[in-house]
Amino acid sequence: MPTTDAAQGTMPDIAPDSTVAGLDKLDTVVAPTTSRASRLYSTLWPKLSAVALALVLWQVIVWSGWKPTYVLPGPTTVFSQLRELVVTGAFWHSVGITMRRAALGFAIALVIGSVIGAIVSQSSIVRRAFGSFITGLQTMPSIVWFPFAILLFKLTESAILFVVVLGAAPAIANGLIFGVDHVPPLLVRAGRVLGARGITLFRSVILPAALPSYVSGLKQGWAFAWRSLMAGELLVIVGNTSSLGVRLDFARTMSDAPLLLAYMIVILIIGLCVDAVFGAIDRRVRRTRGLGS
Amino acid sequence: MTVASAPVPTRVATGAPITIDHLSRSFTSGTTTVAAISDMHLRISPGEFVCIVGASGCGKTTLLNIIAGLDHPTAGSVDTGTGVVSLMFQEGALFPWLSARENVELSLRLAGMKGRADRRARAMELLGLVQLTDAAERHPHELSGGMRQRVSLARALAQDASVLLMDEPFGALDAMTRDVLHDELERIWTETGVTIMFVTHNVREAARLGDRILVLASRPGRVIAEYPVDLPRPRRIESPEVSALAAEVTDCLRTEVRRHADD
Repeated sequence: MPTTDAAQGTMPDIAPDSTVAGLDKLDTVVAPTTSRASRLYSTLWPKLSAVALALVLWQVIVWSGWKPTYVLPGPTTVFSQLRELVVTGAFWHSVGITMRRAALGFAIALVIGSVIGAIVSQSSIVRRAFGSFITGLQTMPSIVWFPFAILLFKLTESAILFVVVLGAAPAIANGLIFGVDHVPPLLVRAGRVLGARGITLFRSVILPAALPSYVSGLKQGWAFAWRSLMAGELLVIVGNTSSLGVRLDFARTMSDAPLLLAYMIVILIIGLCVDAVFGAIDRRVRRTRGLGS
Repeated sequence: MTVASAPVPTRVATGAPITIDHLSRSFTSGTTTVAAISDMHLRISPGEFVCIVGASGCGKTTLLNIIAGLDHPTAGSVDTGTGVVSLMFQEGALFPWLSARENVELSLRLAGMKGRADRRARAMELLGLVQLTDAAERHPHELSGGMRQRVSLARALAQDASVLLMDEPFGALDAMTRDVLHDELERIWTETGVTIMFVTHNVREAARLGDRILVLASRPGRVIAEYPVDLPRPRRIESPEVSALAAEVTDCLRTEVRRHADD
């Protein structure tokens, strides 16, 4: 007999321990296990192929002679430029400035978006008043805010952060609101039966249940924040700072196409890396709940 | 294992009595008012296992919600003493982001139990009671329907309730799993002495488990018949005695359902 617990002896003629254990075994889904390496391979090769295809296409266009190579250099020129770039301290200094702004802007947006999302999702009056307003804000191209932001904050970092927050916060708020709206009523009822009310119910049941949508909102919020930040760094040149945007603009002024493209690749890679982090969190959250794959 | 010599323990009824007086609940939407429950009376003794059967519209969910304190009566009163009333759902309603153990731990925490380590130990004890020690770290989606219901039962027991309300808890399970869970539930009921109010569509299940079967009429819901079940425990669902009683209760239900055909 596989299990022998204290409860066993109480009703011996019906205690169906082995039946229970047997049924549990039969009911247990045996998931096919794949090795980490093969999983990594299967997710990686389509991505690498796409990158290779894009590079080939780029090289073909350069070879076609559509534009002179000092305007449109080939991948080899750009990547050797990039290789020289990443070993300089000035480059990492720029990355540091930009990433600090991104982190700060996103953090502020996270707090504001989450608080607004929590309030709107819990109050039907606030929702009727501001619900569509938040969505409206989200559809507005963030670049439109810059003239106003410059008026408000002059050419300072605050102007950039202002727009970054305006771009990201609505997406985060909407993610949370959508998540809370779609919490199964049965789980809320179960939480209430267990004695959770008010803030405890929100924290212990509603918020965790809404987490997958909230994480999607964060992911989207990051995309908006990153775009707004890059637009901001090109438009709002803060004195004595050499952010990635400033360096990109500088490369254009100098007509240094390889450098310009190298910075664009850097910006692309940073965006993708952060997005991948959110993607990993998203998958993890879904996997523990048995959602998707 | 010494099967024949082990004594059947004497049951200590620690559950609370349920007293329902002139209970009515109606729902108003616009100008129409629908009575879900009308003038219901019910006396349930401490530690009693009462099964409730009824066709659709008998107000069973409303009744359970009111007893559990999730809804309020329009008129009349419900008294369940000072103890905790727990409610177990048909779908289990486990929190999918928590493992089986964490689901039980959350219930303990919400019930006011202090100390993480103590909660953990008690959760494992409760999972042992429903024979799920090995599945403690699994999440609900990794459990079968029957296992989920047992976690759900452990979670309800974690509240240390004096009244356990069960809303068709085994309705979605296959017959074999259900039979096993009947034995499990009976054993746990014997050990804990809790008062159980068990709603089901399955009349045999009611005859298998209950000390008493109450038949509810539909629209509005009220008690129309009562069958004491004085068959010795443990019973088998396929035994002739259980079947005979089930047939009797089914006839009563049929008559009630036919009455609505003439409405």
